[in-house]
Amino acid sequence: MNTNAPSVLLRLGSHAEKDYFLKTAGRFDGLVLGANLLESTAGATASLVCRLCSNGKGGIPYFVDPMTYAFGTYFDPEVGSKRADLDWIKSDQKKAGRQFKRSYRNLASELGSPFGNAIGRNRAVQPEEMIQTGAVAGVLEYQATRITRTMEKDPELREFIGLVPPPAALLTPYFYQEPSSPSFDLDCSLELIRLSLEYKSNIPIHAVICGDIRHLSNNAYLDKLIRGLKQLNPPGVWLWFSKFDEYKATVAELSGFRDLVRALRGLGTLVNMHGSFLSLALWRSGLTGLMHGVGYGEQKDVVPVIGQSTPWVSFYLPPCRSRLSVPNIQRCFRTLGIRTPADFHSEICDCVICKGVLRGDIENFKDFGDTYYSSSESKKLSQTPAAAKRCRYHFLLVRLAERDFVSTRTEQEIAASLNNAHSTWSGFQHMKDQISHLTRWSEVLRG
Amino acid sequence: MPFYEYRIDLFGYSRSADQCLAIEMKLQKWQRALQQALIYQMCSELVSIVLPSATLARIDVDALRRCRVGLIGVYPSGACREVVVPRLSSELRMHYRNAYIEELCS
Repeated sequence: MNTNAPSVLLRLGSHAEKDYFLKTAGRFDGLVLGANLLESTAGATASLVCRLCSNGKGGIPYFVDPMTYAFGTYFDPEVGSKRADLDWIKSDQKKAGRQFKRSYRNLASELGSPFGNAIGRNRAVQPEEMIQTGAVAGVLEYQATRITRTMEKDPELREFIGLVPPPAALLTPYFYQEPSSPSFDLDCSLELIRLSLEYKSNIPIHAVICGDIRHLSNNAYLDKLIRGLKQLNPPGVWLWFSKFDEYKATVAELSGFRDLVRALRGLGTLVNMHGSFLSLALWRSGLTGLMHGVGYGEQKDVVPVIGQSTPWVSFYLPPCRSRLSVPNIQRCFRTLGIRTPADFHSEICDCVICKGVLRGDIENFKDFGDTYYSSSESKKLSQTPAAAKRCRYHFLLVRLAERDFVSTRTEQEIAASLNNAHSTWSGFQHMKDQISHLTRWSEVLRG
Repeated sequence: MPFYEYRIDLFGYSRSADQCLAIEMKLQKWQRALQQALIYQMCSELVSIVLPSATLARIDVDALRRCRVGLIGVYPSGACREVVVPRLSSELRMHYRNAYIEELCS
């Protein structure tokens, strides 16, 4: 990984996002593939890896997230209790009723025992069941070979096998650590990491810690985690705290995360699996990278949110380091003295997308939020796919600029820039609630 | 009437005055109503918020005046009283406004 700047890893959410990756991924620091996506579209995913990650000029590293947590237990907020029926990886199917999704069924079969057994018995894998040399080896072996095995089967891809490197690191199997049993779950996680590090491989093995936001306020848990990781000394650690949204988290939660990062500094690679600008800004504290999707995924709950309508892709406002609605931003322009595209490019964003969209008229900013009725019956406006695309490309370019920005600033300087943005934008009544993260982030960076 | 991801509760146009009026109705959260009203000032000359009379005492009418947003109180009898008269928006974007007038008139 780059040592002169934080690494930004892009996670592929679906193949509908392929164009974003083909056009921009070369400028990012890595590609992350969820194993469920890999199993549902193995050929297409291998082909994409072949195009983006092949050895030689411009090839970027890739990682396969084994997503073993999906075969574990989870707390269902609707039921109010822990569930072990694996319902979260099932879907309603026309003929067969509620069944395991094909991607997870394939993944379980690929990973072998105990994951395959879990599907067979219709019951979640318990943390202690994963702690077996064979189970750990199966998960690591899967990541190391799945892409090339897929290519071998495809006559069009077979000839390129030699060009595709293995993943840049293998991720240890992991499960969601329940806040209700922090000590036991952490012991199991550390044991999984220990067993994984015994696996003989030329590829570095990175530890994954998947916890809950409540762990960030649990000092006993954090002390034990830090001690355990330092003792095991993996070459990399990937962190995912469910429900930890940097925009909404309290100063105490954010500080807990910062302190964890600072304590783990020096272990090697340290990645926040779902992070936003604050994670970038914590680079000097020791967070070497972050991962997210193309315009989303800067936070992720372990339990998937079901039944949400298609999210509106908001405009990422660089000074505030957050996504805001187009009219909310536009409403501020006159007061801020932003009357021309040149004003906009000097004060807000000068990426090529913004230059193309504004093309001579500040009012064209509305094009980032273009709307339409998606059907003749629809009473609700939806964002046009073209507008969503503009917002996503703009975000990706800004994220690259942010990576460069933090690499040349101290945390104090970044904190000052956040405070300045807050002073400028909080004067607007309609913006106050949406930019309160700026002062919290500033406080955390100064701490 | 939808405006981006928002929904304007009531939108009217007077041909004789050649002016639009947008209304945001809320039961309690007057600050949220004001935030939305500020956005609607981009598509309507006049914008008012409407709340039950019981909520009126909690509202910072000076803030509304500063923002040129009107306030209408609704009484249990159903009667309405204009507590603050809206002033012309300085944030109007004619392309938004004209599109709505066109939609209303078609």
